[in-house]
Amino acid sequence: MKRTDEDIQFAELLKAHMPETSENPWFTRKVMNRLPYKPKTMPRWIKAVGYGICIMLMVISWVIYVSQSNMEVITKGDIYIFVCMVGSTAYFAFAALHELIKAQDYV
Amino acid sequence: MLSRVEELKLISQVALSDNRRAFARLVDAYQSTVRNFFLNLTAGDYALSDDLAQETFIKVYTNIRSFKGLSKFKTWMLRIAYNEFYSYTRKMREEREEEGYNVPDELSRDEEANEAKMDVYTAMRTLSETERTVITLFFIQDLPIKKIEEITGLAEGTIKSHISRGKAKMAKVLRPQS
Repeated sequence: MKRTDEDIQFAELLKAHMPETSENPWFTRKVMNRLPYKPKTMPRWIKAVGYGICIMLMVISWVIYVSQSNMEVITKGDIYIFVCMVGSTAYFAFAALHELIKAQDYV
Repeated sequence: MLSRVEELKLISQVALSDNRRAFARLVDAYQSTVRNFFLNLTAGDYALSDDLAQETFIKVYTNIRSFKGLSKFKTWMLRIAYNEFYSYTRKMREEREEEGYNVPDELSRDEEANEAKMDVYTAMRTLSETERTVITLFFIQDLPIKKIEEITGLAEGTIKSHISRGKAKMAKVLRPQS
């Protein structure tokens, strides 16, 4: 819809006589105080570094375990260590994946 | 006034890392726009305008991840503001109906005749809420019809008829009595 001269004049009339709000320095403060509560969480980069270190340690542990294990003789201790390592690996892998998926939700 | 690049940077900081300082900058930049928008819609009620403006910014914050950048941020925000105003008036109307009041959207013709002076808010009060919204967006915010369609969800033809009806009603009040 093209604005006619009458529309332009009418707009100028409204703008000239319409009171405006003045800048309110407290308005932003009031809005920020009403935002939902934000719990303090660990910064994401610390979590990423932590998970990175854990995964590296797990990989090193697996390499040492596999290179030093004697497949001919399996003891109770070997089974116990194997189960613990699988459990720890699964836990860290799942936790890292969970954080990754949570981060994707924000995109 | 923020440039488009600065604005997008702030929006992405709020959306991706919940950066509240970035959000405060957006509020600072747009508070006048939103508060003036409500001041026109409420025909001069400063307290109500500020309340509605605060509610609008809270909704902007909680829904900022749904902003896709397809329209301007200001248009998206005014859409939220319009919906906020519409919810408020509908709630008021329902409450008044429950109490047994039948308050019309517009002033009566007698009131129009008695208040025929250069008082723009008086003239605005003779309009329905939708007419007031459309007049504000078209004449005061200088938005094109397409943007008004995006904000209000009304069809182009409806918007144009509200503009001409609203203009005619206001002209009757603003024209000096002969």
